[in-house]
Amino acid sequence: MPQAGPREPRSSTHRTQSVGELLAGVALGLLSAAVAARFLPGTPVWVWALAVTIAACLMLIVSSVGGRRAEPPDFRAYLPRLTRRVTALAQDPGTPLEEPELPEFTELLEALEMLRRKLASAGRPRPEEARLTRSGVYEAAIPLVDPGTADLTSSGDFGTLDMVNRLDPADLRWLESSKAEQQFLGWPITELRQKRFLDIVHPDDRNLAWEQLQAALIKGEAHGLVYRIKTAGGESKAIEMNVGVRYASDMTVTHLRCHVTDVTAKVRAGRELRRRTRELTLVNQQLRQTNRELQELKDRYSDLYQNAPVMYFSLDEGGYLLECNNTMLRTLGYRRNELIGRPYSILLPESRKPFFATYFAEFLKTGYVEVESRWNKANGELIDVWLTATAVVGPDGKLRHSRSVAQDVTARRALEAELKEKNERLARANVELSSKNKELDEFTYVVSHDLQEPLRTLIAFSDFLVKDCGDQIDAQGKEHVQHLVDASRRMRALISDLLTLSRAGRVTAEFGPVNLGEVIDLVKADLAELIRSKAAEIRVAEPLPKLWGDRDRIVQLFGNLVANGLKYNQQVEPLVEIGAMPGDSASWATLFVHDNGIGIDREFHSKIFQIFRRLHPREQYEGTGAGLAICQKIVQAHNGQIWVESEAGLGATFYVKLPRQPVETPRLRTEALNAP
Amino acid sequence: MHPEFHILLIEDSETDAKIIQRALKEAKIEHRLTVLRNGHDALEYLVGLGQAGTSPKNEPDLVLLDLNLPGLDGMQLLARVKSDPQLCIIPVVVLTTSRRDEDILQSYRAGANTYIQKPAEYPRYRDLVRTLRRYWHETALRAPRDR
Repeated sequence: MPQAGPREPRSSTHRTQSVGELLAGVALGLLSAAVAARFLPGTPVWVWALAVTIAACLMLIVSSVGGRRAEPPDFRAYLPRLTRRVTALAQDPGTPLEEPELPEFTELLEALEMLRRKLASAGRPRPEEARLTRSGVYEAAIPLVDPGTADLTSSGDFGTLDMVNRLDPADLRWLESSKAEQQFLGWPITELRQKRFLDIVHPDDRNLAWEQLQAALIKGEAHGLVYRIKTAGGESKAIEMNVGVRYASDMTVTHLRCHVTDVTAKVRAGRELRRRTRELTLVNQQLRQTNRELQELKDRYSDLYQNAPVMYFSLDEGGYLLECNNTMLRTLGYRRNELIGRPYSILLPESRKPFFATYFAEFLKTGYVEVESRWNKANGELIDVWLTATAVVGPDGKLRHSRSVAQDVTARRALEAELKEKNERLARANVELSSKNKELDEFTYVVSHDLQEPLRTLIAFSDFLVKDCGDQIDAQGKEHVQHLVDASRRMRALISDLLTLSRAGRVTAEFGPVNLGEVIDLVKADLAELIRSKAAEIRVAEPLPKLWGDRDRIVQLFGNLVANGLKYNQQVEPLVEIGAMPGDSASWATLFVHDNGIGIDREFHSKIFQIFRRLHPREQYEGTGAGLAICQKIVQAHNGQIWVESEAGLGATFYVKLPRQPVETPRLRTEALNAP
Repeated sequence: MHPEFHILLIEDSETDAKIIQRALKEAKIEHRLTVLRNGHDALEYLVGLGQAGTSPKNEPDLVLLDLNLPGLDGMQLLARVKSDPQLCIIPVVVLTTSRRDEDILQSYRAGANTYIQKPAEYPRYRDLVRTLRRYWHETALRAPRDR
């Protein structure tokens, strides 16, 4: 291509130039053809014809202008610019054309513009590209045919009640509109002609509308296009359009004929339907969830009912079994169909049937019954049952069914019976024992008293004998009488100790806390005379624990032990020490009474607690030999223990284990077993 | 105050009665001792005192009652005496070998004025009768006879 250069004055070589211009025109025509060929493969013949026409026109224009003008414009200088523009156009059909600087080129540019539009339309440019045209937004690149020339009569009656219109295929401007449509949209046709269809379409639907209508232009028709629009009154409506493309006789598009239907109600109904459907779906989901939960709950309760650790059943007002749980079937060994619908009394042994009539009548009257009964198992065994039933009453106040619970208490009854029998045996033994004890007590008392009475007489009358007949009895006789008196006194001491011993094992007072310090003080007071005469020392190792027992008996116990420590003692300074052993538990205390007396040979350790067992001649040490036996009985009455550690000549230590708090006895345990 | 101390001893044991008699004598107590050997005789004697015309001089200052009596025993006699509006004013001292809790309690419940266990040694008898006289004859005032 030649470069644009400075304008040169017109020369005599005009002819030669004209030939060059013609060549340039042909070149331009070829170029146009090439552009068309590129963008429109299989381009119709008319395009080629157009391209050649353009070239010819250019050539003619150039030559005619050159002939007419005295001062013709410099076409040669303009030509390269024009060429560049056409090239640019070829590369991008959206490129806007500049206004021609030379009016002579206007027609050419218009023709080019038509070509451009045709190319743009054929290339289906996107709406954005369409917008780039100089005509502004929504301008379609479709060959413009004057609407005025279009055949109006073939498009139907615009006075009809239907909503019908004609839209400009280029920019979708209204060309015509039926009265009904004008009324519906709210704009008169004069105003509608200023509007483009897309202006009234909802922004979200515009792209779709554009694409669908462009497709319709190509296809020739479109149906069921639904858009949301806004009317003059600002109302939102939905329309459905059926579009047909109308052509002129030369097959150019004259307009789009649209049949419009107001589907606002339908769309709204559809939307409402969808909304309702969504809601219903949601409700349905919730219902399903609830249903699942109910099912789970039902399963749980069913399990609870069927496999509860008690037997559940229900009876109707006639005493027939309506329902029972699996536990009942398992316990009794029946199948469900062997019980359901059968009278309750089939479960009862003959001996029980009369009672059923009574308590069922009571149940019907009061709505509640609690009874112990006996049931037949399927295998003929009998079980003890404990029954309760409450009435389930309908709104009419009539019994619907019973709500009954039964527990198999056979094992419990057997255990109770066994326990009862054992208790009765024990009670009988206790009664026997206590009556024997009492008899023994009585016996001891009676014997003691009856024995004491003659002794008293013996002693008193021996005394009288010596006093009254002293002058008749010689010294030998008096000595004999004295032996009688001594023997009688010893006999009395023995009887007294026997009495004490019989009382020692019998705890009379209620057990309670015993302060051992106070006990020792009492013992010291009781033995004051002995302590003084022996010049002995009683030493207490503090602190002394509190004990739990019979205070008087514990005083007696320590009194005996301390007295023994002093009596069997030949030290110049007899010493008795009392204290508690370390490491006592909360329940028991171990106490010691140690003396520096004569001690006890090991071989006698087991014998000293026997009644009236003496280790020394009476003449040497006073006493009957009942003291330690009494001690042992007192300790045993407290569930305690007593023992001695001693060597002959080395003093003795007595140990006593006594409770510090109430000791649970077997009797108490039995009571706990019987407690409900 | 009556110059002499009239004691009614109800005691089945002859030796016991003799011991008390001797104790009274050795204690040098001016006394009159009536000894009855069983409950029936004693009751008869006591009821007879309430009869019209009997001398109040026969009414004892003190009854010494043994519990262990043949026939009507001491406890029964005591109950009869103490439930009689005329006789109940006579002081009754239960003097017995028993020191059983039941006997002591029952005696006091029946209205015994005191309960004493028989001393084991004779010399204590002398102390006892002296104490009885000092208290019941010299210290306490007798209820006036309802006439």
